Amino acid sequence: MTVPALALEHLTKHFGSTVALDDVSLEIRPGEVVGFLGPNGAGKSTALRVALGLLRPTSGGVRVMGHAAGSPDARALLAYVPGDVALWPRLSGEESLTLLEGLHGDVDAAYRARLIDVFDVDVHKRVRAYSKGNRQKIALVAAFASRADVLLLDEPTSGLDPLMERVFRECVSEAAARGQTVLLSSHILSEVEHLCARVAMIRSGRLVRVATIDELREHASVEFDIVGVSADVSTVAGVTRWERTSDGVKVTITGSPVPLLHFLATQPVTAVRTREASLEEIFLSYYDVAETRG
Amino acid sequence: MVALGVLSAVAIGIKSFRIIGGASGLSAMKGLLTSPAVAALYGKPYGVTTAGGFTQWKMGMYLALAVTMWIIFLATKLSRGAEDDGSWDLLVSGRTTHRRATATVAVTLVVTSALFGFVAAVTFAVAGESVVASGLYGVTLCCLSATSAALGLLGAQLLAPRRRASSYAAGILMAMFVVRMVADGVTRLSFLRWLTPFGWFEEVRCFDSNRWWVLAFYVVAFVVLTWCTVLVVDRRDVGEGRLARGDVVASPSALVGSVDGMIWTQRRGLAGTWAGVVALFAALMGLLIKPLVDFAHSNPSYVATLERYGYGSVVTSKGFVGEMGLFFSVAFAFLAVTSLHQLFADEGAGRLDVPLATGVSRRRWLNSTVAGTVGILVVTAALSAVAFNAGSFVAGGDVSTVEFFQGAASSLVLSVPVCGFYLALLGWVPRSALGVTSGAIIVSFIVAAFGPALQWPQAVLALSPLHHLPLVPLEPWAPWAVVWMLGAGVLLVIVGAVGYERRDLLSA
Repeated sequence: MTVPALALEHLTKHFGSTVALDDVSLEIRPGEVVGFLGPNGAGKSTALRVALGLLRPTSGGVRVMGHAAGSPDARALLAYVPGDVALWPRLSGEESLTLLEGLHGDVDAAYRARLIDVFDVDVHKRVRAYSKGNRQKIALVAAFASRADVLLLDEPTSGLDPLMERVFRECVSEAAARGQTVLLSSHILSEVEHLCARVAMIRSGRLVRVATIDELREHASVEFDIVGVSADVSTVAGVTRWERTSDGVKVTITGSPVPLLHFLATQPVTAVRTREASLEEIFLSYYDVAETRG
Repeated sequence: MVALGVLSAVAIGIKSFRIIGGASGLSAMKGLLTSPAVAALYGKPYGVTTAGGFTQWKMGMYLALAVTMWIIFLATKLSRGAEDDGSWDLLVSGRTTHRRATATVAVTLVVTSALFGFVAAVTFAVAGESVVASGLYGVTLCCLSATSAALGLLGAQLLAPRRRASSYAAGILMAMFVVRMVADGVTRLSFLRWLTPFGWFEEVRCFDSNRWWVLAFYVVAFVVLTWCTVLVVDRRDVGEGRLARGDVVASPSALVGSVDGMIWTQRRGLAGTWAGVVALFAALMGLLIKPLVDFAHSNPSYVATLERYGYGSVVTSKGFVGEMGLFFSVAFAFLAVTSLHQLFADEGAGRLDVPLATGVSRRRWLNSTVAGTVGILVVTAALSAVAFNAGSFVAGGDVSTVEFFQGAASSLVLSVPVCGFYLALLGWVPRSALGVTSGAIIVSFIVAAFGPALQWPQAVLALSPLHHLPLVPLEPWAPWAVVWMLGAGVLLVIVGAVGYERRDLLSA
């Protein structure tokens, strides 16, 4: 049996009376790129910081390639890019890279040089003169150049321009192709949709769904624009929302479209247009459902 | 807190005056008071036959130095510090202008200065001193503090980040203090007193001739500094200093590739500054040894007075070195705390997240921090011994080099439990570590320095670790006290290390 690259095992974390993580379990296989989604304050960063050994779990635990989070073996396997990179202001970018690489131990020097080039960052400047985006680039260069087995990326593209975001996507794709594991926490859902095969959604400290993008789509709502129909479709199984338009009806269904198609067979349909939900809409649907339940 | 310090300093000065027998008791010290060496240390003695004048002379100069340093750090914190952390970006992007925000800080600093002056004046007045002289002293302290605040505020406009602004402003102030020392110590250079705010502080001559007109120097300095601040505020970007910074590193340091190298790189500025200041102080003290001892030998009544209040040892060269060890102990303790506190600052800012998550363990970083701090302390102590020895040698003193090193080594002992205390707090209640440890050092110093003269109970004196340390080289080492302090220090370091490994890392 393959050892998971990252395993959150019944992870619970309390800050005083606040429950930041509540019995979260998640396994990521080696070589997988997994998106970690959730609204602000859901517990994404807390989960990552526990996995990094920066926070201690209240109960449960995290294992990196079978090693306990925070152990020397686990640290050696990890690379990390926080959402707001803090470095020593007096050091230059190059010195910051020397520090991070010196402490981690491994670096692919040729790849590092290429990363500095493609991310277009002047490493001779002091960190205090960097913008947020440039600090982010330094952390990204250090993380990718380490060739670490597991990359934990916590909103790594915040502060990057669209060009650099594209470079980032290429780097993640290269890392995945090399067999590196990536857990990507991000609010840029198009980025997650593009890079990740699987998504874990968290809300209020609880994991609400772990699924592939395709599985999510299967169970997500689909929108139909049906021209030529004016009948009431609310009684059709699977219809969650409908409204009349100038030339027909707009219907949203969840689950199988078969009942709707059967119904339409009896109607004077002149045209049908469908649109699949984006990851953003899927994400929002989970958020809305959870909100309603909460 | 600072206002409380002002109150305590004034109260202790007045109490000391009464204990030594007031004006009649002072007659034995007349020669000493006019000695250039003592004047360099404490300033010119004006009106010392009154409790107010004596307090101003005995406590005033160092009270002034403490207040001015504190207000400079407050000025840069409220202005440059707020710009460094980005909080002013929001503030000045609204209806508040950059100039108005700076003006608000200036007003806050002036009001704070006025509070210090008010506390000092009321304390003197309540103790029975002339209301006019007490008021003048309060106004003078307020003016000195406000002028220093203006210097700090101008530094914050010219330089970024805050540490750089604070260093330059505090450096200028320290230079002004040294100029005052030279002016008071060398008669032919006494005119230099008019070039420094600490010299004006003396020349007001509170509780003597009460020269109000000297305050005009402060007013002019304050107006000029504030005017410069206004000019610079309007000509610079928010978040940047007016003076350009060297933001390009031509030859990167290879030292930063290891934890120990990084710890040293971070602290070399701190180590250099502290070593320089401590060595300067030690050299000045070395120059004072012989004149003070010679004076004591020619004034038996002065010696009797000192002995009566527990300071008899100062009348010998070795005793003086031992007594100075008290000040060095406190300086080394604060140096240790400042060096260790960098760990908390880095953690709080989130700078340790990546290194500790993907590189080294917390224990390794902590060990290197402690080792680096110990190294800085040992080098600073050695330099202080060399400088003390050099000063003494120039003045013709008779303390040997080995004895100076013994004294410096003894002064390092306090730093061990202080390091342990700080680290124990850092490990378990990190946000309180700096404040509580600094407070404990100050209280220990006050108890040890003033307790004997104020005849505090033995039980109170015993609370200060400094009270248990012998006056090396006059007295032999007290092995049990040293072992006890080292043991307690090491134990506290272990307790702190355990807590530091177990707790959550603070996040930015």
